[in-house]
Amino acid sequence: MNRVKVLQAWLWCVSLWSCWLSHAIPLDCKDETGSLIQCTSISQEKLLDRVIQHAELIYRVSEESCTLFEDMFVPYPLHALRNQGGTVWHTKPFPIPGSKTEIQQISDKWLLHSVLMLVQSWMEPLIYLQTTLNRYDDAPDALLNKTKWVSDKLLSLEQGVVVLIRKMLDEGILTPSVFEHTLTPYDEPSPEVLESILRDYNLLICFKKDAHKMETFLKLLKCRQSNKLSCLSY
Amino acid sequence: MLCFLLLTLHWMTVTVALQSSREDDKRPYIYRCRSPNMEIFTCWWRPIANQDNVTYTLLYTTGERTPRECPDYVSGGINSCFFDAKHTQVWEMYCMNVTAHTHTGPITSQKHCLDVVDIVETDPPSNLTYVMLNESIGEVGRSVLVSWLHPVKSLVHEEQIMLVYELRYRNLAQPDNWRVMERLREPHVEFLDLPVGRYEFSVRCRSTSNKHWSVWSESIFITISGSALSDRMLALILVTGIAIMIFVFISLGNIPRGKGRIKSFLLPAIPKPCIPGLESALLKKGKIDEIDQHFSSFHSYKSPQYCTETWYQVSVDTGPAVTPSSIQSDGIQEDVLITLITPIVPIRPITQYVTCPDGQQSVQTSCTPMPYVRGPAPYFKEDMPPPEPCPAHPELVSVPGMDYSMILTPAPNCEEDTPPPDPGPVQPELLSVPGMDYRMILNPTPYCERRPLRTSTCV
Repeated sequence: MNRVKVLQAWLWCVSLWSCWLSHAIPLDCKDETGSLIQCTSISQEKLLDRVIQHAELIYRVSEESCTLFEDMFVPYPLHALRNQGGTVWHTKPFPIPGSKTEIQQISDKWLLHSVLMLVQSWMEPLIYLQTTLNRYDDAPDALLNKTKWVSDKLLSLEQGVVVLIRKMLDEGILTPSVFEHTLTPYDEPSPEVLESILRDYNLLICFKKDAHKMETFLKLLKCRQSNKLSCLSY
Repeated sequence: MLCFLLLTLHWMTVTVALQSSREDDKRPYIYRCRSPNMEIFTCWWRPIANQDNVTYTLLYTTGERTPRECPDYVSGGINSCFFDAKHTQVWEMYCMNVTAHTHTGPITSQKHCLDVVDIVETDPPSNLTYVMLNESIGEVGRSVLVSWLHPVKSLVHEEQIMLVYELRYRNLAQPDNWRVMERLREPHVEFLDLPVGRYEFSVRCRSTSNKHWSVWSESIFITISGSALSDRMLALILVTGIAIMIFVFISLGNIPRGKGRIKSFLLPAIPKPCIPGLESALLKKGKIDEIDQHFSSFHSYKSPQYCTETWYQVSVDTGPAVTPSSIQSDGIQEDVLITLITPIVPIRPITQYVTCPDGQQSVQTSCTPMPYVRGPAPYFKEDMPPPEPCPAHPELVSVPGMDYSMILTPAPNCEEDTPPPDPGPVQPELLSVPGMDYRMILNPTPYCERRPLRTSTCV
């Protein structure tokens, strides 16, 4: 009887001690397992969620930018252009899966790499877009701010995807400065205003579509992480 | 055992003490890091006490890279490190430590790791305003719409930092009673029907990804004025209106002339069932023959049979069986059975004793052979001489084939010595016959009243 009591008391003390310890040691971050070691990296789930959040925001802001530009500069009869495929503004050096069946067949690795390539391919065009928009006389500030924000966020997203690839696929990806852009920049200014408007409009539409693609790929990836069977709706 | 327990306790306290002693003034200690919008953040550390000419350097790493030094020691104040947008990212954790360079040598603090999203503490919501909504008639208070703005102005899209808000308010008449509206997702809230008074409102917010609340915003004061009397006025009007209506109804009801009209207007008479060809007057005062004639046109009607010729005088025996017939305790059952089967039953006189309400026993004769009238046995007393029959012979006449029975008292000149205690016109008595599972209602009192059938007036 005495022994049992003492044992119980000892167990209580040990459990209390672990409570004390967890409060005493400054736990700056908590692992999912709740272990007491100081963690030094963000978990994969959180990372994926944040990347998806970023991609969503980028898509939303790109949609708003497109609408702003359309309302401001594009004559009404040409609004139908947005529903067309949109002429390819630059040739992409890699095939991006287009249809649903194609997307379902590709692996996680390919999803991540596709997203990374998309992000990296849009960095320069967006910088170019900022410069052209500045040339318009009455471009609204909101549009300029949004474009700037999107191009900053894209950089941030690229960082995030690189870290995610490193975590998920155990691959080391070099920073974007090494990646070669195979784009032909448009340096000569367009002589006609309407032409340049249409070109920029086209750019915005294409970017919006690609942003949506990025978001979809990432969401598909997340869906696959949690449940492999029911990710057909994407 | 006890020694072991004590040793364990001692060891635990020593460990804890050692842990806490590391945060002494002997070493610098990073105690707080905050980010207002997830794009920049600042960290502050506590310096070593009682030391002059000490310089601090903060080194941080993100992930596995080489440590780098703090980019800005100035913008955040003394003993702080400010990370601007270029140096802030949310994908990897920062781990940093502060080194104090004293004349005795460098002293390094403990490593402090953080995730930028977890340290977001925004400014309080800005531009707290209110709008008075339309006052509705008859209500005492007013409705107010309180709204505010997202604190982080540099956001391009509000969903960049998802916030949840909390609003508190109090009536200045009760300054200790703060009421809090929690978990608000929208930057506005509507208060319906705030009572009269002066109120103070303030809001605060926090990022959904962590638990740091901002400070409470600056308060706004709203004064709600209204007339408290309108409540009473309404009640007064209501009560007066109801009283007037009641008065009108009563007065209208009491007008003799208009009584019938108004009454019949408001509460129309429900028409009674009408049998064509039959008048209520006929049933009330008509003779049996006429009624019989009328009724004979009905389907399956059979004339009641009157048994005035079939009365027998029966002598009373001192035995359980009273009737001369074969009615015995067993036979009663048979007879009952027989009568139940055949609708037309042989007339059989039966004598029975019924206790009049005044205590006298009277002989009742009835000519209905239906099982209503049976069982004189329980009432029979051996020494009882046959009392004089009551002059009135209430007859329980049942019409075979019909579901009703009539109680007719034809003789009008029946008198009694003592009036019955019950002043009611009919005094039925509930008689239960042991051995049978029915009861009889008999009218023992010699009131000469015909109980009429239910009549209908054909309108």
